[in-house]
Amino acid sequence: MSTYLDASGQFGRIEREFTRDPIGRSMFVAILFHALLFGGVIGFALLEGLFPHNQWGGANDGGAIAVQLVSNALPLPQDRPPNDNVLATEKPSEAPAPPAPKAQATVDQTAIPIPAKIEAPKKQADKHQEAIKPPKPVVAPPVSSKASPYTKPNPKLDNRAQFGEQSSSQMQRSAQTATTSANGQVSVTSGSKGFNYPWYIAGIQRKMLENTYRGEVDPRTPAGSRAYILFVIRRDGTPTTASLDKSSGSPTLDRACLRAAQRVDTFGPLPSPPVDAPPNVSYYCEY
Amino acid sequence: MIALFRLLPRSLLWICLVLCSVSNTPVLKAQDWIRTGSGLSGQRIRLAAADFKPVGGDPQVPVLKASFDATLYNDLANAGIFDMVSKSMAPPVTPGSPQEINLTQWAADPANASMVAFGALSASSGRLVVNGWVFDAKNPGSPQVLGKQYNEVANEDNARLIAHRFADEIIARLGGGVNGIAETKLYFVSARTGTKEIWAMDYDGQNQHIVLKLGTTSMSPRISPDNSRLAFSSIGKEGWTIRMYSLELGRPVAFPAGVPGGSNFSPAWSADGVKVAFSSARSGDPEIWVADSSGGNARKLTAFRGPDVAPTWNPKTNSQIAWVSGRTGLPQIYIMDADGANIQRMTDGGYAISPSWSPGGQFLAFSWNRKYGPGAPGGQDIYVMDIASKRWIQLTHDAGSNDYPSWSPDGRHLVFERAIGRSTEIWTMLADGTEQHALTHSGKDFMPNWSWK
Repeated sequence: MSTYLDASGQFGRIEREFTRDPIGRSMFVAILFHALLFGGVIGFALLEGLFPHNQWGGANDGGAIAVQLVSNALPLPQDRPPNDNVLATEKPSEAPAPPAPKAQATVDQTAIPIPAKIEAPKKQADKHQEAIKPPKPVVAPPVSSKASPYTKPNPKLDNRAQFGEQSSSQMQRSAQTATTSANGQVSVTSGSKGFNYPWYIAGIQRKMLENTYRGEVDPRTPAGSRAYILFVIRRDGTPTTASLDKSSGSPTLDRACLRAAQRVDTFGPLPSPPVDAPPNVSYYCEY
Repeated sequence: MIALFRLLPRSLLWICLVLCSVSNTPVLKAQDWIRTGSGLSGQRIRLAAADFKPVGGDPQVPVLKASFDATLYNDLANAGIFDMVSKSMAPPVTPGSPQEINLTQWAADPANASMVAFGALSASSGRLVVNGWVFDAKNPGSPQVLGKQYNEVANEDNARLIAHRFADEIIARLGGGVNGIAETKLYFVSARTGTKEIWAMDYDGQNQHIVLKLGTTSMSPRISPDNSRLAFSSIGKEGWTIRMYSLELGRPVAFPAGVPGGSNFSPAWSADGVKVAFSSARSGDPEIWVADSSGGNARKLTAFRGPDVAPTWNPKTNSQIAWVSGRTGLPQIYIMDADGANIQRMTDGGYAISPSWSPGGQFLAFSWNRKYGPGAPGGQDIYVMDIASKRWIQLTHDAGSNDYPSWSPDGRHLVFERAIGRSTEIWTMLADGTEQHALTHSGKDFMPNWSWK
């Protein structure tokens, strides 16, 4: 470029320097592209701002990750407490089948009828019998067909034993004074006179519950474990001689239960008359 | 003789067996057995507070009765241990005596009450007589839980007083021996007269009145355990000093330990009322000092660089002090023995101030900004920490700046200062953070302190 020596050459060099590089087209495209890009971003942001659609707390799924346990083979402690109710079961048994219709009394066709004993047929009863006639069995079970003289109808699916569902207990909360009868029958007694202050017992439950810290219990303790403790309540309401009666199998639960009794300052002065001995308390902590 | 020795082991065995059998025989004591456990109850007692029956034609009775009924209901509802039966669900007949109450009506829906508080209120010849009972509605065999009679001069203040006392009796009886707080007082600082003075009010915000007017700025009132003296810090000629005011004498009393040099702040009574801890900068750096309540025997407990302020005693053991120290930078809560040994840091960061030790000795309530700093998203909130495990819960959320928590003597309530904008009020809540409500409404009330009884 700098090899020109004459004036025209000088001019030519200047002209050459003023000549544009052929980038104008690409430049235009690039600027247009960027303008569109930024315009799009800003426009989107503006539109977003103009039409806010805060779904927070709405009926949507909230964007949280839904986790599903793919296997129940994990060795997690059971969270369903064991049920002491001997009648409760996981698999409710089927209720016994509805009674089969009585077998018709067989009439010996060959016998000679005694006129005095012939009765007029009861039309009403027959109609009724027909109305409640059980549906015809679809398939008779092979075992029972031989064993029983009549076929067992299929039990209805909704005919299940009722269990587990009952209305709230209306049981009297007061203890009854119990006596031993003369014929040696021993009834369960709750002491000499019975501690007839249910509100005080409710207070014990509340106070113990307040002072039981579940955080002290090892989380591996099976749900429903029970630690039984014993203590005596003095006249001023302070619990004394707290001791473990029956371990739950979890030392941490046993300790938490004992600590709860030790933590209680007072349950309140005993309401029973001073001549009564201070009551023993058997309390259990259930995890 | 030899034969005797031969016989001895066998006879010993027999003696042992007999003794063992005797000792194993259960001693038949006439002791009652209570068998109970967790998960059987534990919910709040459903208590109905019936309107008391007005007796006699005294014109004062309707006013006194309205005041009494409202106070009794509020006290019981504020106790935090009852599930109150709404008055609209009560049976239409107002029982005035055990003969008039129909317990089955109260035990049935919609009231469904476990306990009923009821009674009669009469005024004659200037005396107000209130008979109150609490009956167990679910135990008609022997229903009476409580029966009380009150007799005071007939005026509205006494109607409220009797309601407070009756509520306290009910709470103590049904709440497991913990005394109620209906007769307790709150001391606080208020600037509603122009200067910051010490004020007092009932625990429910009623009966607000000024305690003493100094015309200067007073701060951090602390009532003594026997309700006889009030310690506070106040600015005067000697700078910030700890002062004492005798509520019994109605005048200031001397507290020499709180005067000399430097700023003296935040007094705190020991549970026996014998000692007062406070922070003083007389040695150059604010440190925790302890003095007798008479003002003698002042001695320094802490000696670290950085401020040490806001002491509070463990009211249960009286052998520990919690306080705020800035030895690591931002203020943190620490505890130590009352002689200054066994220092232990409780909070792990942020900006923690104003500790208050629970009456049971188990918890510390304090004000904490866990994310302190410019632009940090934290707020100054009230927290309660279990001291043994150092685990805490946050009681206030997203509601102004909260500070100066103070425990009620039953350990079930907290009172604290909440600043929203330029308005600062005294608030109260249950110790689990529920049932928050404001007690003052002037916008210039600070630093509450709950009396010990």
